[in-house]
Amino acid sequence: MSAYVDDELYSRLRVFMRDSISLSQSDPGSHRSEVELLLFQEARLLDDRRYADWLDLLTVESVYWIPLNPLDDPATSWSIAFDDRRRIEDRIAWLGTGKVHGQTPVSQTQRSLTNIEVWTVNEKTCRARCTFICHEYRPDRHRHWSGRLDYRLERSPEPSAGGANWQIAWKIVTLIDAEGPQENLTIIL
Amino acid sequence: MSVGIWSSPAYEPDYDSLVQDDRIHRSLYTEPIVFSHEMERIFGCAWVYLGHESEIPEPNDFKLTNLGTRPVILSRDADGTVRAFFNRCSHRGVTVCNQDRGNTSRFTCSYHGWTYSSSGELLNVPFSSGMGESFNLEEWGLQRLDRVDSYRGFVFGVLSDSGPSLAEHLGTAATLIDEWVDRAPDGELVVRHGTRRIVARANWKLYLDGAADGLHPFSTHRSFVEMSARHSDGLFLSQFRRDPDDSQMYSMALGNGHQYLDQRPGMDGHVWDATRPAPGTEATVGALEARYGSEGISEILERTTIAGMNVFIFPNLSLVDNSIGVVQPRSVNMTEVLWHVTSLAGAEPESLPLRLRIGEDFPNFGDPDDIENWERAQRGLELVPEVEWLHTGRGVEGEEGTNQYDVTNEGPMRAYHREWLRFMRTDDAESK
Repeated sequence: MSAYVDDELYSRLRVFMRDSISLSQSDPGSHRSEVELLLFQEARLLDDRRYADWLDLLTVESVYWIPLNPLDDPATSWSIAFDDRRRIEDRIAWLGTGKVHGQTPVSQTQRSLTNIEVWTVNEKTCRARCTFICHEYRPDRHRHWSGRLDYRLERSPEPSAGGANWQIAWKIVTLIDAEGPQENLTIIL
Repeated sequence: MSVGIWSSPAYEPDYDSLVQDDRIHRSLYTEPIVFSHEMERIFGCAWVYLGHESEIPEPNDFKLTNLGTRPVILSRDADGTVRAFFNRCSHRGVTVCNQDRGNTSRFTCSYHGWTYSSSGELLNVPFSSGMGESFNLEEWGLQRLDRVDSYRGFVFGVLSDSGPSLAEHLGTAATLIDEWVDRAPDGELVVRHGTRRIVARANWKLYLDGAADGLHPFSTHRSFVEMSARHSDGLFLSQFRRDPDDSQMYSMALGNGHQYLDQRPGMDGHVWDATRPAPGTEATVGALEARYGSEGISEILERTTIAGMNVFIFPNLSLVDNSIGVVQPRSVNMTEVLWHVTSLAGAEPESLPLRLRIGEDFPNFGDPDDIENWERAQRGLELVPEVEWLHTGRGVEGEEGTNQYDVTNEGPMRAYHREWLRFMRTDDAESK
């Protein structure tokens, strides 16, 4: 299940993030409207804590990565989070134990995505980049997480139960303050 | 050191009455005056961990660090000597370095341009003819810490010319540092793979109270324990699913406030066998097998996974899993912990990514529950002044004459509280 996390994947992630800061203007047509639907759906599922449905949006060989620096090589650098599909499922199981004290009571979250740009890579692949703010409320504490999201998206073999035509292969979260002191992170960004 | 530089007029709590055999007082966690005294009497008197030599490997490499709340530059000067000096311009107090790390032969103050070398000496001031003849460059260098010393690459500094040497301060804890570092084939750590900083709205001692606490995983870390049972035949963290006092895990008070918890005797077989899979486990094991043969890799995997040792060096250095944790007090109710993941010099390069991935496990699924409980403790302690005491007495009866404990015994915590008290008493000031 996790055999795909190897040197080649690390290398592709490194190139992907290096390219992310030298992209030209996004494609005018491409799959922008479909991708927007997917990203908005994803944000809503996470806000509503519908983790099983969220998981359906991810490919079998997915990556959820929160680097300390977006230009880090994940093969030689530590991350705030680096999850393959198995660890993503662990994370959902962890939240599902009901014993994560930082989620007792659960956080209310609302996230906004803006500045969405989409580039076609090939017939079955595209990349997207956007800006996000995730507001998180726990009793007596309102905080926000902000940064950018880089996605590698793959055309689904068939539309998912939720209707999406695309799936998320990679979701890379660059917090603007990733290298600074972080408050307790117990939600999925 | 003059008493009272932090606050005036000085109010002197009766510290002896606040640390008792089976309880300590809430004010230790809530009173700003206590925090001020700690910055002066502990972080201004004890050997404090500053950083690791491998973070500044080349001449003129530097990193910013702290001595308590004081900003410090840890620098390797042009001759290769590791130096530590305050990040505070001798002219008007400006922090002369404002970048976390880097390489420079010159620190130039942004305010009026006083310029210092990488060993902290004042090299020149602008338009120096106006300074007059009495001005002496040598007098106005960046103030150095009185002593800087290192052990196995761990660099410590102290604001005192007298008192114990670093070797005396570490005492028997040095052998555990050896054991942790000697997992490296070349006998050295590499600390250059990233730093994760977390901040908690809690007093810094709440971290220390848990440093060798083998009881809290059963409650605090239930989410991690239950989730982990999904994998690895349920062996991972199985030491925290059984009656801990029936296991061979133990903790120790190492002297001088240092604490130790050894989880390895509680694990079934080798640590690797009880390690839950991480991203890349299969590919890494495959690559290692292909290169070294399936017989040869057990030793490699054993040093790729977590150490199973928790070592705490008073007052601010923590060795947990494969990471160095640095406790950084910010204020009486705000603490930062800086986690630096390590790799092993001479280790097989194929094993590094897996070591990093395994090292992300506890920060993602363990730390959050610790942080939440520290913050809850801080709230209760601050908000309820009528309830004055915290219980610290588990195992206190019959502990005299021993320094090794059942893993749920609070003995190591009591021992560090006594060391804390020794520093906080003003009448012990000459013997630190």
